[in-house]
Amino acid sequence: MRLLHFADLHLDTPFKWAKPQHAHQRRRALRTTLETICRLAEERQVDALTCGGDLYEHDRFTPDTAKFLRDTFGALAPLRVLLAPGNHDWFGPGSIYQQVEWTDNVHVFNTTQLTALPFTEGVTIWGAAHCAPANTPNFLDDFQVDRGGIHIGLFHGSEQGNLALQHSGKEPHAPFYADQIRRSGLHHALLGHFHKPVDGEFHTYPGNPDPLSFGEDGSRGAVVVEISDDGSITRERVRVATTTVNDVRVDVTGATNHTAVLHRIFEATAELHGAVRVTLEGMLEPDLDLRLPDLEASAPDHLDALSIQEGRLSIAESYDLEHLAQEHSVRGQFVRDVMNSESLTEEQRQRVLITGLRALDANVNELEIL
Amino acid sequence: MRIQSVTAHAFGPFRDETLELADGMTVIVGDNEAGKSSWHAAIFAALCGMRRRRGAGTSAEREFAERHKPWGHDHWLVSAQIQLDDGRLVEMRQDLANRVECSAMDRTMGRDISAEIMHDGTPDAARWLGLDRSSFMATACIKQGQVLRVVDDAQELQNHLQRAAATAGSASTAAKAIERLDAFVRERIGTDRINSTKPLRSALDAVRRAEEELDAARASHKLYVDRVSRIDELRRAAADAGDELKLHEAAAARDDAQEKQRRVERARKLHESLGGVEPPAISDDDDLANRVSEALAQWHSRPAPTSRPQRSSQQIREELESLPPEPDGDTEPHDSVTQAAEEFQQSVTRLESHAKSQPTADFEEPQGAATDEEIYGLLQTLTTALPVVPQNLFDQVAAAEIAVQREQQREGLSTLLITAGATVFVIGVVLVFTIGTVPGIISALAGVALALGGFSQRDRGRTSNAGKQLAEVQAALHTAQQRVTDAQQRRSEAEARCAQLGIPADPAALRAALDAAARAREHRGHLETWKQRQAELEVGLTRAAAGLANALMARGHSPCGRDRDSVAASFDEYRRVCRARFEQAAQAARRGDLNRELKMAEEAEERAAADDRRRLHAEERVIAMADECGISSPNPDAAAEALKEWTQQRTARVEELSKRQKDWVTLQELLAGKSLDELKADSDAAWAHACELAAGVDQELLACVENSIGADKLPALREASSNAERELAAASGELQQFETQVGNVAEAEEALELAKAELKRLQDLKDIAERTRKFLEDAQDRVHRDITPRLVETLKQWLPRVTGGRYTDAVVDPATLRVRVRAGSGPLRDAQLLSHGTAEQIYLLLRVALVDHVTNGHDTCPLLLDDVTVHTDKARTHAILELLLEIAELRQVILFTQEQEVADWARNRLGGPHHRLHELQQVAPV
Repeated sequence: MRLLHFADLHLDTPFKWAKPQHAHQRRRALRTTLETICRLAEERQVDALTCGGDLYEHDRFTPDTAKFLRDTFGALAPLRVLLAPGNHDWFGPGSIYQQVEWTDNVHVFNTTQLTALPFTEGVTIWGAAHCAPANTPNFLDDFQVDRGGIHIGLFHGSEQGNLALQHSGKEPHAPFYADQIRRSGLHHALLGHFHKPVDGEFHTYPGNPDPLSFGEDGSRGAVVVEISDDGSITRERVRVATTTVNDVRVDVTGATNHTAVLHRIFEATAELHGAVRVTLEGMLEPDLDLRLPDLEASAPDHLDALSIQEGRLSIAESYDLEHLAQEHSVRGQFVRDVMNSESLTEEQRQRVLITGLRALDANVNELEIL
Repeated sequence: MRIQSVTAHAFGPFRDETLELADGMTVIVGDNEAGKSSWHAAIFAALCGMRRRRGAGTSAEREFAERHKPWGHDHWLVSAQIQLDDGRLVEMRQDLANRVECSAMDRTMGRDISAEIMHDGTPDAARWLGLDRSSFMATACIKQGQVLRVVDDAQELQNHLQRAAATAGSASTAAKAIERLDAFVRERIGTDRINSTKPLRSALDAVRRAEEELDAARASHKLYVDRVSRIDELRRAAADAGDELKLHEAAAARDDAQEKQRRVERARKLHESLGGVEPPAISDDDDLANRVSEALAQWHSRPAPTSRPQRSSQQIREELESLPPEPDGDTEPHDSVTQAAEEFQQSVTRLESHAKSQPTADFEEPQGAATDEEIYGLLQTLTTALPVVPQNLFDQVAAAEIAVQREQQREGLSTLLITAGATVFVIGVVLVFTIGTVPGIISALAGVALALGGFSQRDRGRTSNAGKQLAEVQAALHTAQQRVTDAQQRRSEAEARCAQLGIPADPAALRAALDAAARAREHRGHLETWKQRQAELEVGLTRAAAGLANALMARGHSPCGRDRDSVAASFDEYRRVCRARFEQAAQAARRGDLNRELKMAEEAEERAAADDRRRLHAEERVIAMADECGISSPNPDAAAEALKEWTQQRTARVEELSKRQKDWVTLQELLAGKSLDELKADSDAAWAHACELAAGVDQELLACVENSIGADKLPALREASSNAERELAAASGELQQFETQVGNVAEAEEALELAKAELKRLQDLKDIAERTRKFLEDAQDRVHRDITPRLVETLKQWLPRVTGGRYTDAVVDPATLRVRVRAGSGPLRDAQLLSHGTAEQIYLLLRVALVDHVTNGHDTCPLLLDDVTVHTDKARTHAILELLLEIAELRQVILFTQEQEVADWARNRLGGPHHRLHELQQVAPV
């Protein structure tokens, strides 16, 4: 038996790091990714398309999301679609799962107990749903399969062994332990919740199929799961993302003007596509008037979006602070006081120094650093 | 630091030319195009070099290169020999073109010490002074323009001091820097005040708006979700209503099919029982039957014989005539009479009762006219014990008499002694004159003694007062005796009085008499009171009697008298008369009842007569009908019985026929114009429809719907289902409309994030600006406080000398570095308001003080002055030159000038190896 499993698509999620237009693009891309997943399911002629939860975000979904899901999954008929609601798309009043009149090929698990959905070839899919946004208990507690055959679990949960490895802020929704899977009689669990992909011996986290932020690692996407007659599985990860995100670092040391910096950014991103996050590093010339929004606005055309952030960036000291500190002048006293101040962080110290020295320097017009 | 020489290897117009400089003052004189500016620039370039940076360099650097780089040459080289304060001899070499072969070489040690003073890529000897190339220019080089500005611009001195204090003159003042910061904050950040149009307020507003929009988006999203939930509920409700309707429609169809089947079966049965033929009409003897029925009805309803009333109407009439008429007057005592009689009777009763309570005297009235006081006095007298004369009085009298006797004896003795004494004295005297003195004296003395003795006896008598005492005790005894006598007298008199009164002279009898008198008084009192009350009651009785009499008269019954007995009798008579009237009235009152009884009796007699007539008629009729029906009966009862039987038989026949006719009608109704087969077909179709509808519903539920209830409920269920559908459609329509207005929560969250980021940027910027401002202010305060004393010290040291003693004191404001000077004990004056010459010299002194301050702890800084006297008159020029000469004692002073005046002065004043004068010739163009 063959299944295509995905999870954590998070339709309608906000992209707070992106500009409005790009954020909108990203949200459209998530829908495109779902369509890609459905096409893949058809191409691979799977027996069912499974989703391990967080398909959309209940607190943010738009009215047409429901129609989109209905139409997209309905178009797969008669290929079955099995949905196990997660903590973000929990099954409850007002949820898309309740309001949509799903086509016959779509099955939504809607209880907090694992319930059986018999498939052909002696395979039973045991699915469960989050029926609240929080405090969902362990689905595997006191659960035991009650029949023969192959048993595959489908739910949204937190494997406790992985919790520390995942992103911070992940609360233990429906916590469980990996060893509970086999003890309960399940041969494998197809999961969702952790965005970082995990290929456990008896469980699979596919990871979020389309990037939701920068810095995501691991091979994330949809997973083609082949279930053998003895219940063992093989997995093939398939990239289905519509969007590409990249992280690059650009050294600005020696760049004396805005154009020079931009040029370096262009060079670093020439071979990239999608959204790029550029981290500026190095020594910034003190009289370099650098505006991050202006840099972002000058994004190369081949990129979907350019996000620029400060990394390990220090202000070059063309101001000879050591020398200035020896002056018997207000400037010298200022430098000494700032250098010796214990009330400033290092970043504040740098900024106060440069700002003050620029203020004292009649030749420099711009007092804002970056 | 002293600059010993400068060599322009290739600098400006110079090629390998050297300018030697003295340790003290060096005056370099030259006209225009003599190369003064070039040598000035060469000195600066040799000391400080130029910074090595990529790019075109600053405009000042470009201008410097343009002015001083040799034309048509690649080389641009200058060097200087300098001596540091620590004695080191250093050669500075500056490759200004490439800035590669730049060095500072310790000539003594032969070592490159460039590293000590590297600045921006090239060695900068200003570092040894604690400066750099830019601050050296501002600090050590004094130009004519600067002096001129100080003289012309009142604020320039303070500005210069502040600039120097702030940045060693190389940049802005601290105040300006703070102003720039403030302006920056004002324009680029602004305040968070409500009416501000600056970025911070805008950012705050943007965040607030974004938050509001996010709240609105979330609210509309929630509303949307709620509406979706509601539609869910409505959908379920509509589905439930639809299911309920289907169930009852299936039940109604089932009931209908069952009904049709029953109709078919019934029709079949009726058809069979009637044989398929319509029954005949009812028989034609209906009229006879009706008359028989009427006759029987009349017979059965004939009235029964009624009993006669006990009394006939005639008897009642007679009794009526015998009744008495209605009496006039009271038939019972009137209330006023009754009340008056009650009052009268109460008065009588009170009077009689009072009479019974007359007090009686159960004692003997005391005789005699003695009052109680007299009797009491007699009693006191008789009961008082007679007094006795105390025996001691007699003893006292006896003693007093003895004392008197003694006194008399004493007095007699006294007289005797006195007489004897006198005689003896006389004798003595005579003896004196006769016998002799001694006997005479002795005799006289004896006589005196006797007399004295006699006198003493007399005094003792006087003092013993025996007579007086005797008189007193005798008086007391007399008094006691008199008392006894009086008491006895009184007793006797009392006893006589008792005899007069007829009362035994006995205390007990007297007490009894007192008691009797008291009782008699009391009795008299009671009796008096009783009599008074008696009178009152009699008056009351008289009034009551009068009242009763008046009441009787008012009721038309005059009493025979007004006395008590008459009135009582009249009242009794009145009552009797009332009773008689009452009885008469009672009899007369029976007239109404008798009239009613008479009427009833007459009616009863009429009814009885009518009943008799009806009864007779009924009998006659029943016999006639029996005869008509062919029944012979001798009496009405038999005839009625026979008719009854005849009627029953006929009724049975009719009923049978009616039933058949009814069945036929029923059959026709059931068929409703159709045949039996057609009716069966309808039933089958109804069953098919019922089964079809039943297939779509739960059979158990269907079975629970009782027959006929399904159809009853259908209208309401149809309406409910229709309403549910309508409501669902309306809600769905509204939802569709609402969907266009649902806010996008994700976009609102993103917008808020952007707004917050911008706000944070501005807040961080503001924080940095404020911190920077604070640090600058603190640094300014501290430095100004440090520099102020130095400036004041310098001024105080030099001011008297440069002003010829006129100004002796100076004050510098540490906050603003404003300089004021004072002449003697006069007021403080702004330095720049002084004469130009004084202002110039004060400016130079302050420049020197500033140089000392900024280079404090480093090498002594030379001064390079450029035509600083060109705008001054001769006197001021000389004053400045003399000051510079004095300054040159402490530091190297290099003065460039084109003035001959200065050259002349230098020739005169600059002598010895410590100073030097250079007179430059015009430089040939290269």
